[in-house]
Amino acid sequence: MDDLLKDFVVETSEHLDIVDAELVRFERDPNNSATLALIFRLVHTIKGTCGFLGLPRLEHLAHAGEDVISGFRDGKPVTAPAVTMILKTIDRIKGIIAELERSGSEPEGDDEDLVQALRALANEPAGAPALAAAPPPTATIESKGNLSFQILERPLREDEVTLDELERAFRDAPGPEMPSFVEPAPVAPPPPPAPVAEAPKEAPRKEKKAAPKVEAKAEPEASEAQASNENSVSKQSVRVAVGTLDRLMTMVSELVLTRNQLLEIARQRDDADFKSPLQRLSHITAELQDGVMQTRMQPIGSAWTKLSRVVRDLSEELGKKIELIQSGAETEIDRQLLEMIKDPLLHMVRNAADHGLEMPDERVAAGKPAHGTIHLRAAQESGYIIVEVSDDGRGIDVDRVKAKALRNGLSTEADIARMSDEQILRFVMEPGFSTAAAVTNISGRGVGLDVVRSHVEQVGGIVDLRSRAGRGLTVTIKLPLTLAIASALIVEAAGQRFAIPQISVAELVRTQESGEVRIETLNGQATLRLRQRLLPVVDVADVLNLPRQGGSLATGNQADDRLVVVCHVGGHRFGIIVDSILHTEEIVVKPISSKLRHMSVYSGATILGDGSVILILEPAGVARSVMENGTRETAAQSEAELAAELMASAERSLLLLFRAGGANLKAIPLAFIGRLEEFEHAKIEDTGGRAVVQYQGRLMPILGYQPQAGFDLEARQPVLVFHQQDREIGMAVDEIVDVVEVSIQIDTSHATPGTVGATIIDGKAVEIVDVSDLVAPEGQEKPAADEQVDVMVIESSEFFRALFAPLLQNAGYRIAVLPSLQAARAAIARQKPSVIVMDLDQPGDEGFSFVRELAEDGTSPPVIGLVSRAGPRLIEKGKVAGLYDLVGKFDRQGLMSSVGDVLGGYSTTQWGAAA
Amino acid sequence: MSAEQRMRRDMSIVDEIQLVSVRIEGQLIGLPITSVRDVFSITSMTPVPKADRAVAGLVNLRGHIVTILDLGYLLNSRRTERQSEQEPMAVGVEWLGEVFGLVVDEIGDVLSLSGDSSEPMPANMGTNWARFTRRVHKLERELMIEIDLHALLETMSLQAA
Repeated sequence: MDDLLKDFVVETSEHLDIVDAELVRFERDPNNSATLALIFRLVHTIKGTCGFLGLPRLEHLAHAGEDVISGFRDGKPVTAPAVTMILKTIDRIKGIIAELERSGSEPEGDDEDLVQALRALANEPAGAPALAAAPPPTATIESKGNLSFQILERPLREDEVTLDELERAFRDAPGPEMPSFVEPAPVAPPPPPAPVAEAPKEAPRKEKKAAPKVEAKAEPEASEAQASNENSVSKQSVRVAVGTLDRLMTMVSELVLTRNQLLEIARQRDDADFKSPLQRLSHITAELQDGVMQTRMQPIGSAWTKLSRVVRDLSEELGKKIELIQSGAETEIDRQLLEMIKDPLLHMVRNAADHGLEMPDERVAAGKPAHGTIHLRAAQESGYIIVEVSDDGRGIDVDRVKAKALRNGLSTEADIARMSDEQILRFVMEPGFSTAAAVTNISGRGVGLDVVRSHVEQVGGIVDLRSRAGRGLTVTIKLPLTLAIASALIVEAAGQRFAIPQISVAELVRTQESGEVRIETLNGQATLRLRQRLLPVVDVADVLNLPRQGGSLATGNQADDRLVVVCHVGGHRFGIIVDSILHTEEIVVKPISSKLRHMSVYSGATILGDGSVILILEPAGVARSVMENGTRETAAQSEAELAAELMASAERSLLLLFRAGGANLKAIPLAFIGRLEEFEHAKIEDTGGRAVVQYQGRLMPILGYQPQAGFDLEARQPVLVFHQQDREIGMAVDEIVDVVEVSIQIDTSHATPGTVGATIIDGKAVEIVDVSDLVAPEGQEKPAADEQVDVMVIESSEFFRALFAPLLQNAGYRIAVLPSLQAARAAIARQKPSVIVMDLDQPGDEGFSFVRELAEDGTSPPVIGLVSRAGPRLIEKGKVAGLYDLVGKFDRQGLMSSVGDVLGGYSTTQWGAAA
Repeated sequence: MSAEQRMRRDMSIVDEIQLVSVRIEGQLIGLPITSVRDVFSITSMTPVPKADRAVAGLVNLRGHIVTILDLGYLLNSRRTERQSEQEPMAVGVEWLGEVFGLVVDEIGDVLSLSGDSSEPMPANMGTNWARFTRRVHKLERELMIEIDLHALLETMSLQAA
């Protein structure tokens, strides 16, 4: 197919989609002449282009359709049969276009039937009084005066209107402010390279473009190309092949990977020279990634245009009155995702119209308005796209679902009794429910919902149902922003690393043999007792037949202390046991080889920052191995309950919640904050570009302060005051929200610049702000790699590094922070720390053997061990290994006093003063 | 040049084939040069637990993830464990738009061979051999088996599915 034709097919398909949606609107509101003018123009453009390209069949049809529409514009009544007729015509045109796309030429055939019917409609006498009252399209043209109105240049045929006439039609009513229709705009741009193909592009764009008008008859012999040249206007957008964008996206993904690699290297080297250019690179990469992703974005409304037509047809077919309301149509979504949810959306809307909404008389009897409403809603919320289809129909009868589930053997009476309605509703998305028999049994709802679910889950999304009996059903789809890049948890099992997509991770749990959270076996299957509920758990090493690392887990970790990644996939909750959780990383998901695609436990592979290849586990696939063992999790828990329990169970830390620079909640551990103050804006002064305030007899700088514009100087500015070694520093915030007690353990998300991570509080994501720069004494540079230090912190988790470093620094110690034992080994000799504080929460016995090694050395400094929870067994073990002390990670006082003990206590008093 | 000579020359051009010679478990094997993309050494390989034994693992080859297949298993069910004193070598081949690496013990020269030095596989070879090999080339010192990569990779995916 030549390019010209290809362009035409693409353009025309777009036009047709618009006409579809517009016609439905027009039928509802026949007096809206703006809509009418738009439709007319679109059909006319299609007609013109067809004639130009030598597609007689299409042209003929479009022409007949145009006649009818122009009849409406002249004040003929808009009847439902006429609209149906036009829709039929458009369907036929679509069919021809599809054939054209496939074969490159118009299919054989005859459209006389339609053309005759359309002619008949067009020739009906006008004058139904009701609609004759429709105003001539005056208002339209005035309001849309800057719409481009463009026709291709070519010799006219006898049965066609001339452009002059057309123009007159548009200018029927006075439109004095539109001289551009009469004379060419002076700013005609230079001829574009492919002028003919350009022409049809103009019509669907409703941007402000003054299209120069070309007199049709003025130069009938003029070459087509030249005519089009004059028609073209300056471009505000460029059409780019999807393939190009995809390639760009791939390259950006690679760039992200390389960036991650560099960051990883920099993290290990701790080289200051690298830092700032690297940060810049990181920044630019992030922006580039955003930018390229933006190019792949399409408003979700483009998938909705078809739906209004579908609803219209259905309402006619079913004899129901249905109104389709759309909100958030401008929400942008990755086009790849858009393609994949088009079908599920269609399914859901059909379901709602067909089964959800009642017949008008039923509705009236139920006290509802006769016309049903289907509401399409889309929004971007906290890193996900939420798409909702809700109707105000009869909803799903939970009792019937129950009965059906029991009959199909999907669940047992006892289990169902314990389930929430929401969980019972989920049964309609089980494959067993989509059979024809189910249609009658549960009012037909659930048809194909399993298909919807599988589609959505395929792209990493989640489907949720909310039904209010007699008041309607809401189906919510939660989708990731893009397919290509995902946030993942990197875990290790039997010495091999794997990635688990963050979207399916609900929480991370550390089990203990005697604690509340422990793993027990039931009929040979491992289950996790979590908040008094049982959860099936599966060991990754078992699922993958990985050989256990013999010996190294001799004590402790093997039986009692396990790490469990609790996943939530498709209404099932289950745990995946791993040996350790390393960190989270933005990974670029690469498809797995065709030779491995049959393996359901992997969803792909990726290259980590350090260049190694790791496999991405598919939690649903891993879950299947759990579910096959017959331990289906049935505990009925709503998300809110879970969150509450989660908060109640884990170890706690006080967080100050506040807002600053945006609506998002931010948090800072209360331990870091010296004081909360409010200052009048009038008292905050500007010295050399820095905001300062007099505070306790000294000037205190305030970071992040936005001067208020003149008025309301009485208003007070909330400020968080941080103590540095010997002075205070303020941080301006918009609003102090609350102080909450939460578990920092649940923090599983990735750190971004300026934050050390995020946590969920009351169902909202809260960023934990990195205050290490604020509270670490200013001007005190990190000791050089070979300078002597007081305290050496060895901690693999970035979160805790960010937590401990400022604490110790603030207490006046010179510290060195190292991420790994390997790095520490080399550094100890050079930096000669007086005390070592190290994380013992490490897989295997590595930490303890390191302690033993140091103890045997004799010349090494005392070691203070950090553990999540200091149980008696661990303390005993630590003593044997030669630890000076063992402290819980959240026991700040314990740590400080222990360090103080070693160093002779001089700094504890300082700390006391600072705190 | 007579017509007959010309014809013979044309025939020989048509029939001449260039094979990359590799050695697996002592056996000399020829891979058609047209399907060989590159040769690389495997530095760090990620095993794929539970996968078919012929899948040795995944490697990062210049930012692309390449699946490494063990030809020894494919052909013969490897008898000996690979010696690991040096980094294993792999031959990169492209099949249906995807790149695979075939682990080999040794990589030799590219040989230009003509059809008249070859014979079909003797009938007493194992089934896998018969399926994956095209023919046997009789070199001066030993026999070289010409592998049919397409058949090999295709059969594997059938087995996998």
